[in-house]
Amino acid sequence: MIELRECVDKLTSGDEADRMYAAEDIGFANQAAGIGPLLKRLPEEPSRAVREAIFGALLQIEHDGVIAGALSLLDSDDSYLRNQAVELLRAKGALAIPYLDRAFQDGNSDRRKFVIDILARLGDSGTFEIYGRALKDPDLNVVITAVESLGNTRQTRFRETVEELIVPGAHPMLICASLDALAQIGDAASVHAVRARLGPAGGLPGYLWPAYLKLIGAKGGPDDVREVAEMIGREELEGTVLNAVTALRNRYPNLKVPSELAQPLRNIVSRQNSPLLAYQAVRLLGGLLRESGIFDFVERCLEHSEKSVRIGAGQSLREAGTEEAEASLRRRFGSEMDEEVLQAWAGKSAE
Amino acid sequence: MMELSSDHFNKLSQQIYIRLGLQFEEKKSYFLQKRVEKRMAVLGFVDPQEYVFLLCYADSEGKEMQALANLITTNETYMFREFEQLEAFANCCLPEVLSAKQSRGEQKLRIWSAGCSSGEEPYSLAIILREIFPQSQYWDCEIVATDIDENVLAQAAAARYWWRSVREVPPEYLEKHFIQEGERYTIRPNTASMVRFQHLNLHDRMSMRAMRNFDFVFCRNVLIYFDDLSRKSAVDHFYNSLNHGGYLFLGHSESVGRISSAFKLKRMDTHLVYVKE
Repeated sequence: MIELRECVDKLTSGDEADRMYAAEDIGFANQAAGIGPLLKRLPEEPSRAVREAIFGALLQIEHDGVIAGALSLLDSDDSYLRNQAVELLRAKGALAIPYLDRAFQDGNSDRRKFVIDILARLGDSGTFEIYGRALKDPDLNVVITAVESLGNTRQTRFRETVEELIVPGAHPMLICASLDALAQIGDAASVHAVRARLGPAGGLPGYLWPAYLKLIGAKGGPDDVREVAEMIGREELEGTVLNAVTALRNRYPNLKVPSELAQPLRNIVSRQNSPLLAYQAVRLLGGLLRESGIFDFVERCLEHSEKSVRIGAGQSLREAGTEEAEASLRRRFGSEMDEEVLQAWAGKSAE
Repeated sequence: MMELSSDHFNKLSQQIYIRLGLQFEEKKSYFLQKRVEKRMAVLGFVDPQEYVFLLCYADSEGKEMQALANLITTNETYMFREFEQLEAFANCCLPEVLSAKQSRGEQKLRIWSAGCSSGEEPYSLAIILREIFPQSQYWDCEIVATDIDENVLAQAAAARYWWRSVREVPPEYLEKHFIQEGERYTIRPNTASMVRFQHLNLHDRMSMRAMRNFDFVFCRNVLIYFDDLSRKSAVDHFYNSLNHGGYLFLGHSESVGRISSAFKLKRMDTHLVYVKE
């Protein structure tokens, strides 16, 4: 049986380990009477390790007093305490929602934003009302945080409301956040809605392209790949374009990769800036093997110094399934030493 | 065949880092993709975005992360595994701790190998200690190796290994510290005796509190199998078990940063290590 009073006394011990153990024991005691002393100790505790132990203890105490205490910490000047309080409230899950609702209605814009940050980890239906209020909040940051959170937690019931936030003249960050959210909670109709509201992609300001391409990749149709491919010429958009085409190809395995991507994709592989982008590029080149010079290029990639490129090239050739491609792979098999590459070429699954 | 986009890879690797403390570089994207592909097949997912969402926002009990962890981690253990990390211990951390002790007139060194399994790690440390610090025979040096599984502890105490377990041991050490009988290798008694095996459950907080005054704690590739709360609790106990100036070693791709901010991150050669200041 843990003697609570003794543990509370040890919270101020001169020995760091004793204070940590005291906090841990109070957590295990799981009594409401332990909450006050733990919260009181937090601001004056010098050791980061003990502070963490105190939060760990608060997490273990199953009493609403912990939620009320954590909410009071959201106004602390100490960013560590604020962040830990957010984590604590998230961990309390649905139990915290009524308290968060009240805190949202009574709090200033900082507190309202914190509340939405906390909701981002709670998929509970009890959060709908708070989100509804947040989307109409007078503070733009609160609205943007709510939109981001709705996307991340896939609250599809708010799809139309988010679409309506995309209007010419709205704050650019709000439009970006809404496009991002629609990539999660939207559907094919969202793509049409966005085009109707913002006009054709070519007329969009540059800062909107990454979010727009993400939406097309996630919710667009096979015909949209042409619009995506047209943006490949801009180096800063290469990663985003590749992601969008890859996403479309994942959803439509027979998607025809536009031939105008051939050269830019070769350039991405040759530049070797990022192994992942180079891998994606060589995989997409697999859809263009009939284009002039591409087969030879992909075949040469089997000897590339970057392992990801060798893997991608082998997969692309194997996928092509032609006698010529199989022969290329067979020729390289003997001289490739990396086990993972060989497994990928052979089409074996992960061990 | 699905492909992970860089966006999905970034989100997954970030989530794995936050929850397991494991770091995945871009170079490992294919490795991760194949494991994710396997999980997606089990779950019946076609679009990687569905899997990213599940892992990031719909896995509150951590079951999917655990299923993925089982695929992205390896259970194989052998001596001198993660050699570069042991080099950082041998060439940087150990000399620093020994020199501080010598200047204080102390002659006691304690190392804890937590989750030692069949003993490959603590015996590797014993060999390093004897090689790097020959005076260890005149000091009070102890390597405490603990595990929850009494069967593997009994196996470890026998100090006998197959060739596969010793394949990474440098040849000169193999000759010096082992007796070979065919494909079996037995650690010589004077090296083996530096290690004391002890049954310990890392979840048992009272037993953990008894582990004190260590200069090094090695707990490599163990915490990834724990849930968040247990992982945090174990790291807190490691913190308390260490002397000031002591080091915590996790697996080379594991990070303590997301679990606890109590340790200070320090660069030793090419390695990052955690020190209790």
